[in-house]
Amino acid sequence: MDTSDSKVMNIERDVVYIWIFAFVMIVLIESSIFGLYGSEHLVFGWLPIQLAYDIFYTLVLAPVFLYLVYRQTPDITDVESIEEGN
Amino acid sequence: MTEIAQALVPIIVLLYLVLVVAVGYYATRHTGATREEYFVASRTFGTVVLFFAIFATHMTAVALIGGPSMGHELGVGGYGIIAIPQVFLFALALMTIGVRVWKAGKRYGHITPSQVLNHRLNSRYLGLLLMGLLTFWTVPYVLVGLQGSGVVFEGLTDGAIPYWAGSLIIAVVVGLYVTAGGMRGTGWTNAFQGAVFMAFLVIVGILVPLRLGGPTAATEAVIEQSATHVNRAEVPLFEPRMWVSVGLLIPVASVMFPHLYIRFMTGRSTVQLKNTAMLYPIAAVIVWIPAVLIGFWSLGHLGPLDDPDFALPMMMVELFPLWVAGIVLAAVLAAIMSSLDGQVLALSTLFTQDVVEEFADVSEKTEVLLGRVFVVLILAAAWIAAQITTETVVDVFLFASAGYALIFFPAVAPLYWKGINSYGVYAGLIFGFVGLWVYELGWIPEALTMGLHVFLPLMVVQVAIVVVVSLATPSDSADVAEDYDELYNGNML
Repeated sequence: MDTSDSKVMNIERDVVYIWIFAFVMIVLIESSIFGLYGSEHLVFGWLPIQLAYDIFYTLVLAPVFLYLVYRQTPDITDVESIEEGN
Repeated sequence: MTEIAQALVPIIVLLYLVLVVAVGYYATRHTGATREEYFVASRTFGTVVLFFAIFATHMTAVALIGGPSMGHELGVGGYGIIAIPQVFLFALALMTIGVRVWKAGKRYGHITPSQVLNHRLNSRYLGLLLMGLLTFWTVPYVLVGLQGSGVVFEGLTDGAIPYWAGSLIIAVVVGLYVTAGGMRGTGWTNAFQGAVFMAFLVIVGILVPLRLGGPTAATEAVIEQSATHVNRAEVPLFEPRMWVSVGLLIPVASVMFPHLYIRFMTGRSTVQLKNTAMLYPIAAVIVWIPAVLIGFWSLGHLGPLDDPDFALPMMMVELFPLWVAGIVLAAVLAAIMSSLDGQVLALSTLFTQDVVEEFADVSEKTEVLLGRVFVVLILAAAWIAAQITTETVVDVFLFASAGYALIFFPAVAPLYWKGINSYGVYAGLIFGFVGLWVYELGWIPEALTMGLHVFLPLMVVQVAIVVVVSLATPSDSADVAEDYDELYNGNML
């Protein structure tokens, strides 16, 4: 997508998908959508299910999302090109 | 036997402080004399040092004192509200906003947020306003860091090292390695101290439930005291609207912490920033899960405490030999110092770069010298203020976070939107600051926030103001906007 005439800097279609995914991630922070707000259930007999969900979010959902963003952002290792404005 | 154990506590801590200074001193041997070297380590940090330079600076005493405190007082929801937004939104910001900041710094030699803003919007005084706001919100953090050092020294040495002496010792230690080593000194000591407090939390996170008869027994003891501690019920802070808005507040504010923003520019390339972001979820679990769970289990073991901030130290004293207090103290000080050093260096950088370098004709050597002098002056002033203040860590953390969060949009939008101009940013920054104080002073009814944290409705209005003012006034930086657009070509986020 040519963004040269756009007032927004280099926002492309793939980025829109990332932001939609980001919005879903924000919604998923709210564990009450799964009925966990007042749940007293314990996983393995000791781990509160609210905390188990939060750990799942941290170690599974967040890394998957971050990895997608990681792949979308190009690595800038050619430092000289940035310094010289090429 | 008890006397020997008590004597061991300050000895362990002093040995630890000597080690920190030694690491800082070693870093100074690799520190050059240029402005880029002192303030941003010549932008050469690899992934390990950059990760700790950001993560350990990000994790303050709130992690080791506030985490257990929330677990004890409010339950396991403390983890979700603090840690989850960090691992997702702040990590995302590192890979997107952080990369744009890094590129701007690398291309144009910027070191501070104000330099980026001034250059992007073709302004001379906008950066001064931003620098003033960032300084205003950072000073209390420095103060609280020294205050926390004094409190834990006095508490865990049973008064052998009083509050004034404890805070003075930390001011001197931090001053030694920050003045000498600048950004490289703080980066290396952050790596060391970050590893120390993370290892500490992992070990006690395993040992504490074992000492309590296993995790099942530990959790059952909590439920006997308060069944709602296993969920989010009956805690106003954990109600859905507040939960999500505080969840947004913390990462948005974190992006504008000057001690983190400046570090975005210290990586060797964008790869180091992206790797740091990927490590955030693992690091957050290592730090916050043990911190919150120890506080949570402390309710069952100790019963309700008058001051939940003492949950971690009291559990250590109850469950382990007395000399372990020395290790606890070293770990807490590691968390405090690894943030305090970054904050002090950031303030010194802001003064030197945004005031001296911008408005006075001084050599690079003088800039670095002034940077070192500022570090000493800031620490001296903060130590004096710490002797008379009564604010708590949590008071300062939440209020200052809202202050930083209301800088976020005006400071970051110019990296994404070509149509923004300095008038819009001036209006947005002033509105954010004034709006927060007007609310704090009680001039805006709380009902207007609709159950959200006040920063969110204020930020919505702020965004509207920035957009409307920018569209209604003439552009003053179209050429520079094109340069930045070209700089970000290929970086879609």
